[in-house]
Amino acid sequence: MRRQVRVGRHGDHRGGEPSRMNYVLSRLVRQFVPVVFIASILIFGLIEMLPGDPAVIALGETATPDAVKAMRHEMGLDRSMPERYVRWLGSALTGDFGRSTTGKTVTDLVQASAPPTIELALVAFTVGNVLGVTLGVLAGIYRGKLPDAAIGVVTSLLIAVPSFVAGLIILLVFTVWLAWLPSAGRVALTEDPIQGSKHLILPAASLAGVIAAVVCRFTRQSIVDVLTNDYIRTARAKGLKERVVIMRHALKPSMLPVVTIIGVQLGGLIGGSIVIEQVFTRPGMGRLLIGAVNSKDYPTIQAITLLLVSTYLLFNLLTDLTYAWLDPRLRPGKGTRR
Amino acid sequence: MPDNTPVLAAGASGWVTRGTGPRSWPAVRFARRLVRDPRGAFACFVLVVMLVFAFVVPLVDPTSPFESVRGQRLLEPSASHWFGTDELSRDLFIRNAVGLRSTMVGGFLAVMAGWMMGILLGYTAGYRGGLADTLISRSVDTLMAFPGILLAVLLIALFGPGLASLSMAIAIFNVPFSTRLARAAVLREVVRDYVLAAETIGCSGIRVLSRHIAINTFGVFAVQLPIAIVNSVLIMAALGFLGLGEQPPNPALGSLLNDGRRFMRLAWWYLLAPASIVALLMLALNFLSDVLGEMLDPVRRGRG
Repeated sequence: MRRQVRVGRHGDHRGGEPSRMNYVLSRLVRQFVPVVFIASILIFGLIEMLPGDPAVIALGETATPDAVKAMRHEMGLDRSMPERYVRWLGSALTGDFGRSTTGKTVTDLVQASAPPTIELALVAFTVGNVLGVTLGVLAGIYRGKLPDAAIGVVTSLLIAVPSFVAGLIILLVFTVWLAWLPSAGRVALTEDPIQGSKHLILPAASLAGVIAAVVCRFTRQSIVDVLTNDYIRTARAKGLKERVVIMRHALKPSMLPVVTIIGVQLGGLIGGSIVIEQVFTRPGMGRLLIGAVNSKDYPTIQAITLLLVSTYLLFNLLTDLTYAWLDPRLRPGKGTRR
Repeated sequence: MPDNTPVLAAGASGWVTRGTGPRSWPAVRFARRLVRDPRGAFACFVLVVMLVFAFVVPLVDPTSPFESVRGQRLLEPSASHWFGTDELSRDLFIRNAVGLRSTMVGGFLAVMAGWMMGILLGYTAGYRGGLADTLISRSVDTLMAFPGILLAVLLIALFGPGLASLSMAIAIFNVPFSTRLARAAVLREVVRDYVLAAETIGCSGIRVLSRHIAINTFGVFAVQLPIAIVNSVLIMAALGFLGLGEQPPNPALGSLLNDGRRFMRLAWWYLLAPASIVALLMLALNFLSDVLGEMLDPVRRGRG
């Protein structure tokens, strides 16, 4: 240890490349992998605990004991539970989640339903955050004036009214009363951009609204806090234009807390899209999951839950890393090792 | 106690009530402050209306939420059916009332059960430390890894759809957050002198927690609990909408939304009524939790 410190291998490089790599690796190994691992045990174990023999369910109540035995062997149910878990996780890691009760492979089902969800989430996430940050900065700059008050009212409404209820109401207004937009289905944006956006605009708006509102609140508070700093007063005192003060001095530091909240939004986005897909009958992963729950299609439930949990944790990790990158105080190797 | 607290509180906060009337009780003053805020007034008004709608209307209104009347299928709102009728010719006014009641009761009980469990776990983890803390904290971390309503959906996949399993899922959904909150609160208090004093005079762990630490950590829960109720009612409605909650013919807000969605082209009122109820209820609960938060948390008071 002493020698290493003297040579300076671990002790004293400040934000250098290897140490940042170490930080990323240590977060990955110490937090991401274990939590995903435990979550996978939970997802597997909970479904395993269910009463009823999957082989009997697959064959029907009238199956002969021999047929059930053969089926159990084929499904690997005669092995021990840890062994089954390892096999399940092993094939899951290679993208094989088994066969759904509908007869198709789970992988096919997920592959077919992922694009609508990813499309929806990406658009909602981007629009929501851009809108939220812009409005938040505006509200922060015009604190206590009319724009601030107006934005404040809109954001409290958007935060309070749940996105799926707002979705149902705009669905009623735009597809039934005004009949401007289709109420169900999905067309890939890459195939037909115009028809695709017609299907996408309402669900994306319902999800983006909440994100924009939350991000806007945080951005506003953050801007307001940053603007009270001495260096802002200095910048103003030396005669800089207000625009320059905001853009050059206030914006970047005020984005720090906003990054965290953007990451947190992803969890809500995943949960929200499950419900929103149901509202707008969009054939995505959420609808697949709910369909699987209703038809007791456990391999599909396991696969989607594991995928969504891993995605969520991965984005949480990315958020933390972005945060560390933006805030020099949180970088490793400066006494705040975590 | 109530006899002398107002005097003390009045003196401390400069609220002197002079001779003209009886001294107001803390609860009354609290309510007055709550209503003075426009958001608080709105929230109180909506909540009272909702409570009357959910709990008094089903008692007073003789209409049955299950009774079908021939030839009254999907009627528009009218004097005899304020919210119209549904596809089975049932009165939607009473169905919304009963549905709101079931969602409110289920959501509230589920939050309470979840929080009690969470607080017990959190107290244990924070006070005992060591292995208990590690086990509880890691389990909570794992539960927190499930984004949004996914955990609740997974749990309902296990228990099977229905109001009971939905409430159970909501309760478990509330455990991780309340556990963390309670654990953090205990860790903050445990280093204080009064805890040391209590332990020194020989109080048992349970006594220290229940008589000393619990009282001093109560404020944290009072601020966070309304938010938890808001989220839980929301998730309850969302999962009900997904068809995972109360099963037909029993009405619940979520299933009314689901049915209304199916019939929205034929009957706009079918969807609009439960959607407006959820929207108004959530708005009121959010405002209430904002105002309460500002009133109870001196740091947030007057900020913004």
